[in-house]
Amino acid sequence: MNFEPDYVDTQFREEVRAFLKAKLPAEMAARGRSGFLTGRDDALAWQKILAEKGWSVPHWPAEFGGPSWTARQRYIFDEECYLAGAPVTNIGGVGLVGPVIFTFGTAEQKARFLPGIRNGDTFWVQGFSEPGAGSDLASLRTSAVRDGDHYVVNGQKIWTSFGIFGDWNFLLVRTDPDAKKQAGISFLLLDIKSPGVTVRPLDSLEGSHHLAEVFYDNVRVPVENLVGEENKGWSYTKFLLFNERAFYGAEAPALKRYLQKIKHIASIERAGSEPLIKRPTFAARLAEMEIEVAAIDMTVSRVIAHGLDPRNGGDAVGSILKARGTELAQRLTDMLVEIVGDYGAYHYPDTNEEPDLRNDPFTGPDYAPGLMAELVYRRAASIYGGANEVQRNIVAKTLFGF
Amino acid sequence: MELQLSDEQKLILESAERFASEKYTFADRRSRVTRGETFNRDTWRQLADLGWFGIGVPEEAGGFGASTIENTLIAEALAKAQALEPYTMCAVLPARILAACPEVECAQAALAALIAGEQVFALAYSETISRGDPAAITTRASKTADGWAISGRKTLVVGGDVADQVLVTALDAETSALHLFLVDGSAKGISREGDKLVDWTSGLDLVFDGVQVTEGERLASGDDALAIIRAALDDAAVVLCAEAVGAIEGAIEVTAPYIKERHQYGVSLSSFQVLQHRMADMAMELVLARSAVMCALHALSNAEPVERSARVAGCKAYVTRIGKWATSQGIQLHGGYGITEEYSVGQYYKRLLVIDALLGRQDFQLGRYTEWMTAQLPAA
Ligand SMILES: Cc1cc2nc3c(=O)[nH]c(=O)nc-3n(C[C@H](O)[C@H](O)[C@H](O)COP(=O)(O)OP(=O)(O)OC[C@H]3O[C@@H](n4cnc5c(N)ncnc54)[C@H](O)[C@@H]3O)c2cc1C
Repeated sequence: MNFEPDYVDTQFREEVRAFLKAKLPAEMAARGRSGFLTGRDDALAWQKILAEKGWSVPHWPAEFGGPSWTARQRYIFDEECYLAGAPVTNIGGVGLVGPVIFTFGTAEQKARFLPGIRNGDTFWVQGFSEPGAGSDLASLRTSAVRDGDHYVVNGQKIWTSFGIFGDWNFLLVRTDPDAKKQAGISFLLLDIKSPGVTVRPLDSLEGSHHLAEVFYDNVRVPVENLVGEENKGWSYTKFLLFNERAFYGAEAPALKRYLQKIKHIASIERAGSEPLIKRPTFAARLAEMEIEVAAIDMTVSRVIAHGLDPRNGGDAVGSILKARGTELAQRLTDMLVEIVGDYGAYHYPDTNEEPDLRNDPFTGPDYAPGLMAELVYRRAASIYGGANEVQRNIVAKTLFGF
Repeated sequence: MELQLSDEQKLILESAERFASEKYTFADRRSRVTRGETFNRDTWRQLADLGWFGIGVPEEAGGFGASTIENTLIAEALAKAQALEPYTMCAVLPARILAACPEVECAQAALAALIAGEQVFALAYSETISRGDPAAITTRASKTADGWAISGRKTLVVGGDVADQVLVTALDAETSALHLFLVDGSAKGISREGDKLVDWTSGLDLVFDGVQVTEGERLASGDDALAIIRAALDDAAVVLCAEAVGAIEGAIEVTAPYIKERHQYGVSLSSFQVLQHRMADMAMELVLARSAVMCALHALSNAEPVERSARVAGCKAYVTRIGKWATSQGIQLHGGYGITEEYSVGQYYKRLLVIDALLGRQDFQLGRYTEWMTAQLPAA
């Protein structure tokens, strides 16, 4: 253990900062920072800007267009992007299905799908959960029956993030109804414009529509869109879910952005004549959270540097980070809403989702819209990606064998 | 002291619960929200006809007597039913203020119209720097030939979109004394900015640009005005906390059957001990929240103004904190369904977020309580 600054990392951080300064449009950054989820237009436009630089798929191998960064560099990149307000790129494509395709896909699938993800041409959405299969994902029932050189898909998915933005859908289907739960599942790639697919947006509490239900009515999917082997989908899923937790679980860069934002807003907002940040009771609460963020960040850094380590939660570290990271994000976004005072209770329409509304006037300071949406969205963070109760079950089982 | 509801109070609670659950069905609420309707005048009239606006107002002021206790019972029932109409903020709060101005003619006429449900009233006291403190404002009132001209921006005005008359605070442009005015909601120079609140109830900015009022519409000034407003805000804060209690109870009542019916891994979610304990904790918070409201009611009828305010502040800080937690856990236990508008549980959480914002947030309330608490310590 030593804590000398690493020259290579410092230099890399500066390079990323310079790039963001030059290439991230200010309006896009403002939208990225707002708290509303990134819309389709910004997700793909930013992906294109990154692709020009060769930085659009940080954790893909070089042969598929990755930049060959170390894990530490990827983390620095993520953090700088977040702090600069960069939009979130299409996680479904870049983070989830891309790695499944380059790891388990055929040569044709790689050639056909990877460039579109890398270059920001296609938007991918994840179809795993069903009304009856949430935490118990393996009980899913959407079926695919082989008919000549097609699968015929019938059933329903729910909670498909960004379903209304989707071009392509990767989904889990049951191909062997008689096999044991996990054994009869396959992994399909489906063009969402195929006949028989209906996407119904769901109203979320904060007034956005980032979630959708997707219905499949005799949808024909060419067999060449099966990933890997039939009935082996569960093992690809475990690979994907591991990536989801490892790369997105703790969201340490997002936590840092919240801290940055709280300090900014609390220096402007006043109680009487005094800026909020000067109030000792308020500052102490913020300090406690900042200290906690630093510990989470260090835990992530330890995983990045050395992988799994019994002194760092061992195999349970992903669940530890997911649960604690999301719960801290909930407290931080709660504070963000608190500090804007009265405007924290206002409803603001989601201008990332509805670009038409971007020029409409609104009341309150320019940082007010989006804060409440983010708080409400963060309530979902302890539910998605494996609910936190389930993460705690995993921690207890992994560490103690309970 | 009698810690049980009287027979009369029980009747009020039961009839409030019955009315609210019949009137405010979730399907109807959904369709009103979709239409963007924050306030329904017919419904408001019905609430008035039940006598709920005059409850808590002394008989000599034209009310029906009774006390804030009765207001809390009604508010609790309305919040549990997820009523959109802002009973606490537009009925209880302005009635308290108007009733405290018995010498002012227009206030008495206004109070009668409020109690009858003929007119809707809003209180515009808060501004961005107020954070719960009615004295921290910048809106100005300048003397004119026959009255006053008011300019400034008021935030989080519940009922501001529909109010026929608005109670407004402003600082005297010369003396800096605080004045309280009653202003016609359609007066020239008032504009409305904003839409509604996150729980789909009414609330927005009212901007006053040289709005003319007569001297007769000045209800109170200086320390008198502040005392009237502070006492009314205290009463209303306790009634808001009762709303929080109703919301917690509502969240519990929809979540318990949900986790019983929902199956994962081949078993009912309610068979998982962690969820049983979570719901047990929610139930504990409900009991304590209701008791906290009773502590505050006790202070309202017994304590001197300074202690009364402090105890109310303590109640609001505590009840909103545990209320936000308990209702958020209602969402958590519903899984993905909890964060959609199609299930009612999330509305309770959003109501708590708004209750937290109204009349001063947790931080401000804890500050008030702390100040009083430490002032009680014997000098070292
Ligand atoms: C914002 C959001 C985005 C999402 N995006 C996607 C997406 O893009 N694609 C997709 O396929 N899915 C997505 N999901 C779905 C998500 O994966 C599921 O919501 C999650 O798996 C939980 O399932 P459920 O909602 O059915 O809740 P349930 O499984 O019904 O759980 C309800 C409650 O019971 C608890 N519980 C369940 N099992 C246990 C247990 N064994 N022990 C203790 N407690 C338990 C849970 O922790 C939770 O609190 C998303 C969800 C949300 C909220």
